[in-house]
Amino acid sequence: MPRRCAFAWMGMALAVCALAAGCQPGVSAPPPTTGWVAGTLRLGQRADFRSLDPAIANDTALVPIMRMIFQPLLDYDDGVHLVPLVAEAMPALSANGKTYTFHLKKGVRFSNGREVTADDFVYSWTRLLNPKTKSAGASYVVDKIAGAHDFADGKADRVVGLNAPDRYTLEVELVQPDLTFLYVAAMTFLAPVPREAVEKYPEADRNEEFAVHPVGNGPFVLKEWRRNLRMRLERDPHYWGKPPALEAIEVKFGLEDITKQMMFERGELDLTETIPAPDYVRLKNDPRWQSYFVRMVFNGEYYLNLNCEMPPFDGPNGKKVRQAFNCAIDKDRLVRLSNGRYTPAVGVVPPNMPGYHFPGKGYSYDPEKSKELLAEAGYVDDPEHPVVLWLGNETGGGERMAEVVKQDLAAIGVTVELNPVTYDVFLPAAGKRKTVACSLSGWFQDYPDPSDFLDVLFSTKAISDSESNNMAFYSSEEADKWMDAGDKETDPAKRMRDYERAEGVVMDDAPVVPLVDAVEIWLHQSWVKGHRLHPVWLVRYEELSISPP
Amino acid sequence: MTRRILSRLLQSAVTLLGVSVLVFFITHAIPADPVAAVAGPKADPETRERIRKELGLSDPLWEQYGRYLWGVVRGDLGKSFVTGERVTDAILIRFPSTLFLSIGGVAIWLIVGVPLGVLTAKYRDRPVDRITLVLAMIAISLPTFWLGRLLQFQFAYRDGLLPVAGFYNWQCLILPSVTLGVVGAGFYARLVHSSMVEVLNQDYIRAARARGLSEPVVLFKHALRNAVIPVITVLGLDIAGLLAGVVFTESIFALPGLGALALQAVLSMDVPMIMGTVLFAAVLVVGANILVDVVYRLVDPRIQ
Amino acid sequence: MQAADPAPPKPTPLWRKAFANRLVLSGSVLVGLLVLLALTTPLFFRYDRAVNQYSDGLDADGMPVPPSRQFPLGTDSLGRDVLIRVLYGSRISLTVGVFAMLAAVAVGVVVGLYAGYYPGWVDVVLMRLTDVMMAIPALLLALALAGLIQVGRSVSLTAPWSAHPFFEYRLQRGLFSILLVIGVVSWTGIARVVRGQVLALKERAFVEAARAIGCSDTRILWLHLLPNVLPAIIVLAAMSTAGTIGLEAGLGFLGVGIPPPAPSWGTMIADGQAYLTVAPWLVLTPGVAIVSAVLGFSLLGQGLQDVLDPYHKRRA
Repeated sequence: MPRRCAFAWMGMALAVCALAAGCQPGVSAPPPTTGWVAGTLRLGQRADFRSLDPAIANDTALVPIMRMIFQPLLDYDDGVHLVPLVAEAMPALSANGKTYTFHLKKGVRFSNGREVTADDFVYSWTRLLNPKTKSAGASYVVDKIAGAHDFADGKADRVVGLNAPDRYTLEVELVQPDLTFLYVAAMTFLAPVPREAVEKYPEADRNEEFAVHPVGNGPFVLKEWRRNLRMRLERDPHYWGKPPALEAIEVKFGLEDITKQMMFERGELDLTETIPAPDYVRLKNDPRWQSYFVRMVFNGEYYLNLNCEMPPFDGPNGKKVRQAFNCAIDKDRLVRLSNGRYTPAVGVVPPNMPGYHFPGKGYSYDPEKSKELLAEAGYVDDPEHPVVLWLGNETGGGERMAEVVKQDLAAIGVTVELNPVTYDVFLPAAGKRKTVACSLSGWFQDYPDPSDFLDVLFSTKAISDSESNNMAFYSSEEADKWMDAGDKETDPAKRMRDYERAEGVVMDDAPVVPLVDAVEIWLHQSWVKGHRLHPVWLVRYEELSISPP
Repeated sequence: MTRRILSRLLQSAVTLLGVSVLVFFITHAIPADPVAAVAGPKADPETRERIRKELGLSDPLWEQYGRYLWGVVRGDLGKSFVTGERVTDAILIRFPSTLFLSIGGVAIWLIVGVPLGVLTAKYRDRPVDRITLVLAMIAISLPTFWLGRLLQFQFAYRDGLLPVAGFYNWQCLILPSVTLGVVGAGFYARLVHSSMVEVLNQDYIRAARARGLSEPVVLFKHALRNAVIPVITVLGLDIAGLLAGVVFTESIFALPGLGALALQAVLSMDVPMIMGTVLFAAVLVVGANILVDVVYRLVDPRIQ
Repeated sequence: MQAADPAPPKPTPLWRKAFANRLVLSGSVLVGLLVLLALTTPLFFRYDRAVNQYSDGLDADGMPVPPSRQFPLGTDSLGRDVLIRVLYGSRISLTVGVFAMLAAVAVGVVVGLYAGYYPGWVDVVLMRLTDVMMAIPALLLALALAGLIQVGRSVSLTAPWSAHPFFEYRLQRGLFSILLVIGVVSWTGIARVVRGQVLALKERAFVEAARAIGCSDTRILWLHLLPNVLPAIIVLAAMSTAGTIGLEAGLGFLGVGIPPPAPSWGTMIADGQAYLTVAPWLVLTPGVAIVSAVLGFSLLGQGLQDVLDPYHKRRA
């Protein structure tokens, strides 16, 4: 009998040997020197893009591609300042601050050869607002442009605030003075689309067809899109502006981060931004790879939201509890345990905003002060009913962050329980009133303006019963006052002061703990030239070229 | 025979109807919101409400089901909530990848499994048989996803012998087919083994050997033909199991097939896509069953 | 008239025959080892060491530590001891595997018995239902259900019945829901086989005899037919457990299994994939564990089939 079952044991022994052999950590290969394709940039994506229709496309990953096919009125310079693109110059603002007048450059053409006119902008923006288009981007303009609301609700058949008095002049009337409208005008949502390229399809499928057969005014055109497999863009020889160095851009879909990294290291991809943590640590310590990293602090921040309507953060003592939480978190340790892919956050607005400078110092790490504040607030910890911290488990490194937070809070005597859920469960739950007491979330800029963080996350009007972006359900008359003042202000410098005052109020009330700011880390191959990061667009493909390493 | 096929077809139609009801019920019992997938995280509540109405999600359930069924009959499986593609188109475009992968997997089953089964039946109870038995049992127990990731890591990434992922040429199918096939190969080795053992004991085999026919002829021409009957029947019934392995394999090797599509659809709550892929999978399973039934009756001499 | 034959030899008791079969023996050893580890782990290691992050389990860069004296199988991405996690994972796999199998067997046996015994519409309805469930590949159905339940989990926090401690603990932790899901997709094969056996057996003499002496149908089903189907059921139970354990690992790998930080083997592999270059033990260890568990039950099932049902035909 022992001999017969010896064979089963043999199999197990083999497995154990394999295990032992596998326990030696591997060594990295050097950066590849072959595999590049002249003139072609090869990229990888986890999921297929949803749509190349500028009214619909809203993935962060898609924006750098979209701006190669479509170009809106304005663009950014190398930093965060706006410059004209399809517009001839920055627009004139009327005396009452509500109407912008854009003059278009002449000779800007769509890839089908037709010139871009002011009418195209009226058509495209109207289409954006049309409920049939089902555009999420509509929310950026529906409350800003005069008459947009009525049109979207079906009460009017055009948007009265959009007018094209002549071929190259576009007039936009706003509901109230709003300097951030210019930032919105630089988003790809507001790029022009040619009416004939959309309406040549039958009405039922119009938008789905255009989404896969886009026609735009950018330097590249879509050559091929095999869904979930690959997409190929090629340079438009008739582009009206300065031609880019690249001849083609290829995107491969369906690649998880791990697979993408493996393909990159074997030279099958040229650029990657989703480097898994262990590979980042391995490569950044390797002198052969170090020069191919590009880093930039990005305007995105992660917060620990403390729901001001739920215990223990509500009531008259809630503020002290929230401040205690702020002093309890060791952000440097958090950054270290996240392999240095973040930088500690001080205020609730990330640092890279033009003309904006929050004068406060924020809360420093001081667990003793935390305990004092908790005692003053009369906080009593109940391990049977811990504070439940929710997080979407796809948030980058979210689980690790949550663990550190949990440990730091335990150190000041607060029992925390983690509840990781998928992102589409997390959002509705955390956005619902009186449901989630404490959550971990992030917010990334749409444009570099403090209102994109303050108004969206901390104003009373951002609170709604079931889909609140204001996950701390924080409402302060004084903060609102400063935010509203800033929203209406037309003097750029005074605006910033108003927002700084608002941030001051918010920081004092501490509805959130600002944890870390995002750091973009990209890796390119030795044959990719001109790669640098941009604070809004991240990467601008028109700057890149492929040449021998 | 024709009557039997017709009755099977009718049965299958009823089954598929049942499948559509079941899947509709499951996907529409979800309390949370597919609109979130379409609208993205930054849309305000009003925009979301407008999108919800456009997608027809505010209508009563039976109305939604009726509309869906009417669409299915005309070949329209709806549009994806996430990408807006027509579900029918999405499925048909991705079907070839899955088909090629499945053929590759089945090829490994048969090329590796059948000869091993024959060999071990012939040399029964010798060391070759025992070792193969152990290896086959281990192969059956290997998780597909584990094997796939390890193979990819070693042979594509570390050694660079094969492509890491994607479906650009036939080499891209090698590792995925092996991944998919190893588990089944072990199973079929065992199956053919036991079937062959039974057949080899039959009188007509002894008679064939007595007539002086060479061993390979005896083995492959006479014995295998009969031993292979249970293999054929099991092959058809295992389509469901094959589709399960396909999900893991396509996800790891980034193959643009139905398995990856179904997985993505579930993870992003893309209701029409979930319904479409499950329905399509059910059609494949049911179709394979009918085919097997027909082939079985043709091949099995006992039923003639 | 012949002379009296010498007394026939006493038949070998079934369990002796079973353990003489080498497959059953090696399978039992593996399963026994698994059960032993699962039961005794809490005696040696506290559960919180399997789920809580430990900063001293990570090196200066925040990366896992290789196997050492302190951590015999190394640590994972959050600094947790891999050996302890794998051991606790055995509890999850075994619990989910066995109880899901029991649920599947319960449903499958009932359906199979009634469908096989009562001809006519009972059989037709039950078999149609079985066909519908079998037409959907188990993994796809399990995926859809598990995804649905995961979503419902957050909503249940506000539902009135969530206050009941049973639901709050089980549904929240996810063990119960995965158990249900796997059980729901696994019963159909069992139902088919049981039905086939009942169809063959119900024409036999002992059933006629039971009917003749006035046994009710229910009595016949449960007291006469069931014991005769039992050997097939036992074999199915073992093989089914191999499948349920594999399915639980698969669902965990895809991200719809028992939610973290529970140390499910499948989830551990998914988490450890990115670390294959620097920490291969994260993927190898749980994988070997899964193979061992599935292998054990497969050997057991295959061996029991050889012993209990040697003339088993694949297609009923």
